[in-house]
Amino acid sequence: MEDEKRPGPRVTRRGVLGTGLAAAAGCAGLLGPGFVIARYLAPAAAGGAAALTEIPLDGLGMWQAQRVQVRGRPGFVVRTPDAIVGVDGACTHLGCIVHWQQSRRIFFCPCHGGRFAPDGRVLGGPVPGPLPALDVTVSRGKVVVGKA
Amino acid sequence: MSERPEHADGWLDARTGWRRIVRSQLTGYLLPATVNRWYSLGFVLLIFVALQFLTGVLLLIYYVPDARFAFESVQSIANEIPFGWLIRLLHVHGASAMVVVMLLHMLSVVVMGSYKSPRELHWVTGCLLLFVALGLCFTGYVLPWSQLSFWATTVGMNLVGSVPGIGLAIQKAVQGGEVVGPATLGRTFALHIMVLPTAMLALIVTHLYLVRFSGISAPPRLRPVVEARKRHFFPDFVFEDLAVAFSVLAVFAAVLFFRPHLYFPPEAFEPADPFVTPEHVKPEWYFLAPYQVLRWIPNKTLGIALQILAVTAIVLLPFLDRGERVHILRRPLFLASLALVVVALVALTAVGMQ
Repeated sequence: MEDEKRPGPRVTRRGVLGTGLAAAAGCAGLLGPGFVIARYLAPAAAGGAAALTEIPLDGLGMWQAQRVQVRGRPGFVVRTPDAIVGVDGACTHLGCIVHWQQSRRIFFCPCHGGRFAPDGRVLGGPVPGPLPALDVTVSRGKVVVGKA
Repeated sequence: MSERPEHADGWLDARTGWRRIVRSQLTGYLLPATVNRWYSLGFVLLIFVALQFLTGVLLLIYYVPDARFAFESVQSIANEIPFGWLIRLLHVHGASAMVVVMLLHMLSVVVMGSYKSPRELHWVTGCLLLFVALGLCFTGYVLPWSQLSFWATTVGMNLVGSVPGIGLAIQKAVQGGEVVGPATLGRTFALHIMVLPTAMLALIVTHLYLVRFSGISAPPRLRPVVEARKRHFFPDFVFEDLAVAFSVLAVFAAVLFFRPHLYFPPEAFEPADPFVTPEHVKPEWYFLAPYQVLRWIPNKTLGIALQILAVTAIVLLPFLDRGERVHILRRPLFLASLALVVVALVALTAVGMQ
C-alpha cells in the first residue's frame, strides 16, 4: 500500500552528478587492482613459455608426427613427401588434443570424431574450421617451430 | 497480493526484502552522534581481513604446499610472477597491520569502557578473534619454508609444548611428529587456509551480530548528559569510516613501499635446513613480549602458566571489572594498571628485538 502512494523516483542534477562521480571513482579504484590481478593471473603471457621449439630433422620419419609445445600450446610437426608442416594440436571443435593416426595419415579428435589432414584442413566431423598452421623452418638439420 | 512490481529492484525486493534490510542496517540504522573516529577501527579491520583473504587466494594459485617445493614456489611468486612481489608483500605486511589495528581497536574499547555490561560478549569474541588472527600469523609464517620459517616455528612449537597438561599433545598434533618437519607444513597449511579462516569468519559474523544486537556504545563523558542526537550509519558514518580507512591504508602503503623487507631478515631468503640453526632465532614482533618473558623466567612451565593466567584475566575483563564508572579518568587505578600493561608490553617487545 505504501508503495502505491509514493510518487516515482525524482531525478535531480545533484543525484546524477553524485552517482556519476561515485561510479567514476569506483571504476578508477577498481582499475588498478584489476590490472594487477589480471597480470598476476596470466604469467604465461608474459613470456614464461618458449616461443620457439627445435627438434632434430633426423628423428622425423616420413609420415611421422612429433608433438611440440609452442608458447605453452600443444602442436604437431608432420613430415610429408612435399614438406614439413606444423599445426596447432587443439581441435577447433571443443579444444581436445588431436591424435596423429599414421596408418590413416590424419589427425583424429578422440572427443567427437573430428578429422583433419596433416596440414590442418578439415576432412570430417563436427569441427568448425581447420587446425591453425604453425611456422616451420628447417635449418642446419633442425626443424624450428614457432616465431621468435 | 495483487501487487505487481514495476522494476527489477521491485521484483527482487518482493522476493528478498532487500529494501527493508538496507533501511534497517544502513540508511535507517542510527548511531549516537558522539561516536568518534576510534570506532572506525572495526571497519578498517574488516578491510584488512578482506585484503588477507584476497591476497591469500591469489598466493594459493602458485604456492606449492610441499616441503620440497614450497620455498621455490614462494621465490617464484616473489621474483617471476608479474606483481607476485606485490601480492606477497601485501599479505605479509597485511598480517602485521591486521594485528596492529586489532590491538588499537581493543585499546580504544578498554579506554572507552565499551566492554562493560551489556557488551561483555563483544569483548570475549574480540579476544577470540585476536587469538585466531595470531594463529593465522603463526601458521602463515611456516609456509614459505625458509630458515626463518623453520626455526621460528621450532621455537613457537616448543613454547606450545610447554603449556601444562595439553601442550605436548597439541605440539605433536600440529608438528605431525616429534620435531618440525615436512609433515608440519601440510598441517599448518590446512590450519592456515581452511580451519582458522573459517573460525575467523564465524567469529566476525558473531561479533557483528552482537554489535548490532546490543548497539554501539556511546563514548563516555566526564559529566553525564542526556545525548539524544543520532546520526545515520549510511552515509554519515560509512564515509567517516572510509576516511579513516584511507588514512590507515596510506600509512600501510608507505611502510610497504619504503620498508618492503621490514619483516624479512636474511634467514627469510634461505631454504629451510633442519641441520643448521641460524644465530638469532626470534619469533615475529607480536610474539616477542611473551618470548622475552620466557627468557627471563627460568622455569618454562611457570612462565607459560603465568602468561595463560594473564591472558585469561584479559579475556574475562568485563566479568572482573563490574564497576559502574565508565570514563577512564574516573577509574584512576584501572588507568594506572592499563598504562603499566601497555608500557610493559612495549618494553618487552623492544627488549625482545635486541
